[in-house]
This record gives sequence, structure tokens and C-alpha cells, in this order.
Amino acid sequence: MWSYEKRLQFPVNIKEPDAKLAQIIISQFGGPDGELSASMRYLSQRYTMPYKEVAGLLTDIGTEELAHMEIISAIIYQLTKNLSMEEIKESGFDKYYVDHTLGLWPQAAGGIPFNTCEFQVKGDAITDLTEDMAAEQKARSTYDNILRLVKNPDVCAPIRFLREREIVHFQRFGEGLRLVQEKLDSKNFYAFNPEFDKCKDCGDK
Amino acid sequence: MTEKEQMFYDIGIVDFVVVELTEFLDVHPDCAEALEYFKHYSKIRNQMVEEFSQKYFPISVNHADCSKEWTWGAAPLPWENCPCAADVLQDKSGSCETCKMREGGC
Repeated sequence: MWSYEKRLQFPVNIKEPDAKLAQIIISQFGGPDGELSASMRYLSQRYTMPYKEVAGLLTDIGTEELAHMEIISAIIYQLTKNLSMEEIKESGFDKYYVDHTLGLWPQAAGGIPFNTCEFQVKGDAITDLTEDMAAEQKARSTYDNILRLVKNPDVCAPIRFLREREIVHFQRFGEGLRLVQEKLDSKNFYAFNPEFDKCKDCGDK
Repeated sequence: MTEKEQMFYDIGIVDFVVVELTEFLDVHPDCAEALEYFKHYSKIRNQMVEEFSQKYFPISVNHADCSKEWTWGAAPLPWENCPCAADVLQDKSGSCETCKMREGGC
């Protein structure tokens, strides 16, 4: 269950459209390390996560990622609002425009459509949380790259906020992984998969 | 910044604290200090959302008073620019606290 609030987690107020910038930032909507990918990764992984603290963490971070997708979408929407035909042609936005006009469609900066192969649900607590930590760092690197390309302060402010959240979520997933490991055999964390294998002395202690 | 804008901005700040504490408490459920902060800020957050929704526009459908009209549908969409953005361009510093801090309509 979810409920919606009509506000962004971080305000977005862009004064000047910039279709070139929009084509870069769209990667954090539908690209390999984008916010859509992040939310779907965590919200899909949580069902078989055997420890309820960690399943709760996946739910809450997955939910925050939906709010981040909305911030990124608001940035793209405002950067492409009221574009003239000339601006569309000059900025190279014409290739996107021909298929989607000014509508928002999840794709990577290189034009590759959003694909669930960009994330994994392995059904193994250690594997999935390790993927989640890597995902947060990959998104952080993408935001670092965006910040090197962007000078507009209206765009930088929400991007910096999102970058910081990647670092915090990396920390939280690390703590989630530690919680999982504490419940496993300290001599061999890989003795069994707590999301699949059943044994008398293992699992949710 | 108008009172409405200030209130809306403050809700964003307090809600952020609640989000941060929620995720922290998920993996540190025994941290009494964080729990105290959570109790404090989630109470303030709920009061602020309630007060703002009564005064200006409903932030969620649960806070909408639709006894006479569909006020939820009339609430501004959060991805739209602030209509007062035009004022910002005249600001010498090139940035306007009002607009930087706005989300949704004015």
C-alpha cells in the first residue's frame, strides 16, 4: 500500500529550459543506475528477505527511491517545458522528440530503453544486499558525473541532494548486511542461503 | 517568502528528518535516542501537514476536506514550476530563496 503526497521530497524550480541537460539527466530516470531501477530493485527484493528489519529497510528505501524518481522527472519535465522547434533541433533532442514529443519516457542518456536487466533479484540475502550497496555507489558516481557537466544552480541543488542520499543508503544497506551476517554462521556466511535453504539451527534466530 | 511558502518548505525539512530516522531505526531498532527524535519530529510533521492542509491545500487526500468540493484535485501539482519564478530573474544575486524553496504552485 502506498499513499501519495503532492509535494516533492526536494524542491525543483528550474527557470530556463535546457534540452541538452535533460538528455543527460534522463539517465537517472530510466538508465542503468537510475531511480526507477533503484526503486524496483529494492521493492522486488523485499518479499523473500527472511529478516523483517531488512525487509522493512528495503521497503522504506524503495519508497524513498520513488520520491527520487519524481524529483528527477520534475527536473526533466521543467528542462524540456515550452521548447521551441528550433531548440529541439539544435539541442539534439529531436531524436527523443520524434517518439515521445515532450512526454517523459524512461531511458538511459544513450537512448537505451529502461530494462529490468539493469537490476537483479537473486533471492539470496547476502547477494542482494551487496548488489544494493553497489547500486547506491553506481548512482553516486552517475550524480558525480552529472555535477561535472552541469553548472546551472537550479539543477545542481536537487542533484546534490540525491547524491547525498545515495551515500546514506549505502550506509544503511551495509548495516542491513551486517544484521544478516549476525544471524548466519560466523565461520561460514555462505553455508546456506537463508532465503531458500531450510535447516534446524539456521535462519531467523 | 510568504507564510504559506515558509510552511510548505518547513514541512519538507521536518519530513526529511522523519524519513532519515525511519531508515536509521529500521536497522537500529534499539536506539533509544533515535526513537526519541522520531517521536518528536513525526508528531511535529503530522501537525504541520494537518495545519497546512486546512489553511492552503491538501497535501494528501487524507487531509482533503471534500465535503463541499473536490479540493484534492485542485491542489497544485508538485512538478510544476513556481508561478512566482519570474520574480527570481530580477533578484540581483541570481537566486531567490522564495523560489528555490518552493515546490508545487504558489
